[in-house]
Amino acid sequence: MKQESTTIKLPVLHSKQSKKLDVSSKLIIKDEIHWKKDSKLWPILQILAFVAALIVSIYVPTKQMVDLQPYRIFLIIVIGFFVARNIISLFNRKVKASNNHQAQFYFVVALLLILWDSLTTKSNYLPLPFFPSLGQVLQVMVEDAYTLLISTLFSMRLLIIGFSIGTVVGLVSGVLIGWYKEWCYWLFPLIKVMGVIPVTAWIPIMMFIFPSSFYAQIFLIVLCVWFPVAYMASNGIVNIEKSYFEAARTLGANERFLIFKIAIPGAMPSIFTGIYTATGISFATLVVSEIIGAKAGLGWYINWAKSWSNYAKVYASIIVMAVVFSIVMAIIFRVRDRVLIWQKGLLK
Amino acid sequence: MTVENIRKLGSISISGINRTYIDANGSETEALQNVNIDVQPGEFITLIGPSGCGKTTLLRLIAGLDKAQSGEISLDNVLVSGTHYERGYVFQHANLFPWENVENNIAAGLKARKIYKEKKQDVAHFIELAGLTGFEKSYPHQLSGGMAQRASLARALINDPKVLLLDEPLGALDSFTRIDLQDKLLELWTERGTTTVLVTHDVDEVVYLSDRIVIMTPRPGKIESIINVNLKRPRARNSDEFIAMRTNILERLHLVSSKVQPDYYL
Repeated sequence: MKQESTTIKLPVLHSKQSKKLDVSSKLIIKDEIHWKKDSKLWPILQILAFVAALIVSIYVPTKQMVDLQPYRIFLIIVIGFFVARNIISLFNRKVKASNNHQAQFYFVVALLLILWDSLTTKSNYLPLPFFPSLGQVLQVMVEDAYTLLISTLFSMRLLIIGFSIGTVVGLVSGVLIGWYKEWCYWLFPLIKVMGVIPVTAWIPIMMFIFPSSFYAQIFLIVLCVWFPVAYMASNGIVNIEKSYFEAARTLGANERFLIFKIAIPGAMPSIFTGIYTATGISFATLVVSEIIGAKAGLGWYINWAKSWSNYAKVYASIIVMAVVFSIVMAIIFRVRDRVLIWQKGLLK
Repeated sequence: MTVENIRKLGSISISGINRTYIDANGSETEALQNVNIDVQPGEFITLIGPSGCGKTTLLRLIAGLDKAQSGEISLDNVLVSGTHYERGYVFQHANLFPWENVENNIAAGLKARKIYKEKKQDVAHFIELAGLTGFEKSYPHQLSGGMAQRASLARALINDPKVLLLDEPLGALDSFTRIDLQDKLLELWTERGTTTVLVTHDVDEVVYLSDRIVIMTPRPGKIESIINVNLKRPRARNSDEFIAMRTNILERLHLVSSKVQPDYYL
């Protein structure tokens, strides 16, 4: 009996094992993160597509009055970048993986550039001045680089000052509301009401309360950052498990320790949710307040360009915003990952 | 301080404790009814009983995490009111601060008492004691259950408490880790002579560790009996005396039925 059972079991076990091996070897080949990891075609095609865009720009006759030099230089730089990356990817696996991953995407981007170019400079099909070519936008960016830079710096100054003050005020009031009943009783209703009002609604009032539009704008950004940070900080503190406070108390903690070593670090994940909610709102507030009442900044630049019907400049400043705000967002995410390093693994 | 010195400290006197919980509907639950215990300095005493017997409530009262309606608890003739680092507490689920690494978790008591600078070298000692050398910079979520509980124990011990209160610290661990940690606990207790009050519902653990066993019954939570364990340490879990004591406790907890049918006949 015994022998029989073993002889029957053995082949079954064996086949199971070989099946398992099959699955695992397939898993190694199948990359969950990267798109078309081993493609040899797309990395080449992406370059060819940008070369095609350059050829279209140079050899198809142009119907608009545009200086296409910046656009062509831009395309050459992009082609140069991709060629360099393809060469590096021959030696570097990581670079190869990300190059292949993005290749198909950039191929389509290049096609869209060709389409855009064809519909604007090459055919005059899209109405000017509302839909300029990328060539024209880049031309404006180069010509107006100084004004754009100054505008960006003005906007950034406003954002950094307003955001810092707003975060600090939000943190302090959020901690007070989360920790002390009295503060919660008196301040929380205010937060609740103020929180639902779009900050931009205050603009007309702020403009005459404050001596200059600069202070009014800072106040608006402080206000729009304050609410989500304060709300999420107090919320975060309230939701910390009681047992952490109990553990600290049995270790001899005083109130100061409980606030700074338990309540605030424990609320940090929630605080960061508040901070990046605030980031998005603050971009909107910044641009709107600049459009309405400022004499500098990217929002002002948009408004100014619009009044001259120079839509290429409007697009130029939108592109600058996309780049600058993405950088700000990336910095905030970087800081969050650093501060919440203890949460890694919990998040995923 | 020598062991002899420490042993003179850490006597707990619990007298006439009543603790009633009133929920939102106004209905009352008597968690503890007229509880009296005197714990000798350096004693290892265990509270055991089914859930709802108030053993954790009693431990929390000693820690100062809860207040009784009537009765007094004192440590070395000083009335307990509120928490104090002299009464260290180890929670069921390690309860390490997730935002601090192992080193800072263990050092938390020193920092809370603002003596970190003077006693910085203690931290390394307690990390070693907990067998966590090499894991100083790890965060709690990276530790296994046993490691986390050892860190938690070290965190409580770094304050050199007069009394160590253990709230089912090994309850959530697998049996290998549990037995391992029971030995560790015993070793630390023997070395340091700290009065220890352990709450558990593991009968083996109770017999293996305790000097005295307090058996509690629920609704209302009160003391059923107190048993002295006069077995020599180290105790063999398979010795006749051990098994007899174990059976005795199981009987008192009404966990042994006389009607048990054997699983098989020979």
